[in-house]
Amino acid sequence: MSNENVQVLPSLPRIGDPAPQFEAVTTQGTIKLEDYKGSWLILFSHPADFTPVCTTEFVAFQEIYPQLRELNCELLGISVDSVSSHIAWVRNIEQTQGTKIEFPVIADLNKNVAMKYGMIHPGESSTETNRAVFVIDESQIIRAIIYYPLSTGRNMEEILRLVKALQTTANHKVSTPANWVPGDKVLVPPPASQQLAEERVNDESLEVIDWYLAKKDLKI
Amino acid sequence: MACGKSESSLTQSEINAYLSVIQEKPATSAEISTKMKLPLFKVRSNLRELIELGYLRVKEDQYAIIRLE
Repeated sequence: MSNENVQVLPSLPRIGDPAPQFEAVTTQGTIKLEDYKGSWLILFSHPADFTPVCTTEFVAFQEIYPQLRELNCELLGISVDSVSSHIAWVRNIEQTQGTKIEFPVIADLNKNVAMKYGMIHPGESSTETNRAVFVIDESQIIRAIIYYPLSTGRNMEEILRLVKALQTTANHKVSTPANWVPGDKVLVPPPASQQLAEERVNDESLEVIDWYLAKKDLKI
Repeated sequence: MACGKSESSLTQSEINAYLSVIQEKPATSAEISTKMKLPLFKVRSNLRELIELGYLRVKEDQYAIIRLE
């Protein structure tokens, strides 16, 4: 195959990668990703302003925003709409539903940010961003990615739970089991040797189900 | 200027609030964020805009007012 026939596709950011840097016009002025250094960030895309699912999501994102801020986590929306459209939409949401949108929204008309983050899936729509969620930590490393299709609104409780679980892992070097919520026991890393496995099964400070599966209370 | 593009996203009262916080002495973005009770990302963005508008200068993360002689 000649080099002329090789199509180079952009590599989408993955978990553990540095978040792609950008500078973008938003409803709250020009923002750079680096402005968020030191805090966690949820960068989320929506397909379009003045559409039904997106409107319910914006209200729901605003509802969890105070809880996210308590977790040192900011919210930043994005879609391929103009800043004037965003302003008109957030004003409409406040007028019709009494919810003031307090987080900024990127006006990504040239798709610069959307393309960097792989938020446009041409199989579904080549002109709209899908419902992507990137959880970025305080060092600007991507810690989780969620993609939802245009048709399906996201679950805010899960996004909140995800941030709490990621921060628990980051702060305490533990894992979290299925359906974990704060207050539940966490999982300790499995032993790396036969010797440690022997010690693990006799460790009375843990809830040991088997040598590789043990839980403990998190003392905060 | 095409189609009435805005020069600033800050209101005059926001500009005045920033200037009053650092009127006495230069401050870091973190100090300004604490004093104004605003998120750090927003303060960093706004301080950059105030520099572009010619109100402030920054040296080693110390923001100071540009005073006209």
